[in-house]
Amino acid sequence: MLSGGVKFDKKDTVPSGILWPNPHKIENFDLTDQFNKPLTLDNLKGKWSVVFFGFINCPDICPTTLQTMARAHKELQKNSVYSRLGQIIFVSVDPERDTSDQLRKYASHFSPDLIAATTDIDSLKKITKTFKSLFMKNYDSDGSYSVDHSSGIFLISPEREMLSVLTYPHSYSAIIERFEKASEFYNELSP
Amino acid sequence: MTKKGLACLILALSLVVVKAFGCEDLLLENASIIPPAPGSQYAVGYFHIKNASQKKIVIKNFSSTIFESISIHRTSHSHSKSMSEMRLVNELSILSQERLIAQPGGTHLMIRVPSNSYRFTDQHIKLVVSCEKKPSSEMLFLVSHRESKH
Repeated sequence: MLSGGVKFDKKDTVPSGILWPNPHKIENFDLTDQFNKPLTLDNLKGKWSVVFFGFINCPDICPTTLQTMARAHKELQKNSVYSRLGQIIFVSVDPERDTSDQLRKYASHFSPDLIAATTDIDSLKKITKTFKSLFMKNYDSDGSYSVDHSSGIFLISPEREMLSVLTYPHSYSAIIERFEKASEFYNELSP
Repeated sequence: MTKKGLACLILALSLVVVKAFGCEDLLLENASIIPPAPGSQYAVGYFHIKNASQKKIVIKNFSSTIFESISIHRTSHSHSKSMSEMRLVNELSILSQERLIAQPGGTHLMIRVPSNSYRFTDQHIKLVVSCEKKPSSEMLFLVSHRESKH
């Protein structure tokens, strides 16, 4: 693995539209997972991470996306790199309602491997910023609220760089293809 | 035309107009309700609906005695910001002979279930659809469990 991160010097070798030419490093963050354990930047080191932001009471895009991610994760167990180093992460942007207990029940519905985590609003702002993402609470006229959030799926390298973002609508085959191309290119750069 | 004939024609036309606004001219297809994932309070409803009448039909709401609330929402995506937004929709207008598709990532029903202990045991659930003009109609939704890891 590259100790200093990926350097995409040869512009024309970067798969066009697949990887960001100059991937930025994810900065440190503090989350708590569904088992009340800390989840920080250290947990991304040496792993390929597939990350999605959402909230439990989002009935439409979140369960649909998590189901797609879980299917991709299952299929990717056939990939020798992913099966050793791959992980899927769901970050809740609704800490007011999404407790560890609820995150545990929710995550286990999609995959036994799905890591679900959240934190306080200020820390969420920090993590979404480093992912170049956004979230915003939005009240409906009936007094209920939902949270606007990024619809992208983020692919993070073992060096904790944001290599790629998949945009909505998502398919499990697109996640698999993106990972395979990214990891192949990434490994070509390894000494 | 005689007065009687004219009266009959007016009556017939008025019946057509009244009928054209009602929910009974809506044809529902592929209607499903997906129960909430554990921990969530909201099920989701998707459907295709065709306006088989000669007039625009406006759906005002969906209701049911078994759910706490049902609201129409629409998810939209800003590709420039890569953001997803979900907004309450007050009504659904469907033009004559047109079809509205409520599907993942777009228009959907946000259905609040009574409590976490509520079980979706029935294969079908009836929802009442109310339109701008009466009468309302009952429509059958298939309970479709989301595929889980199991």
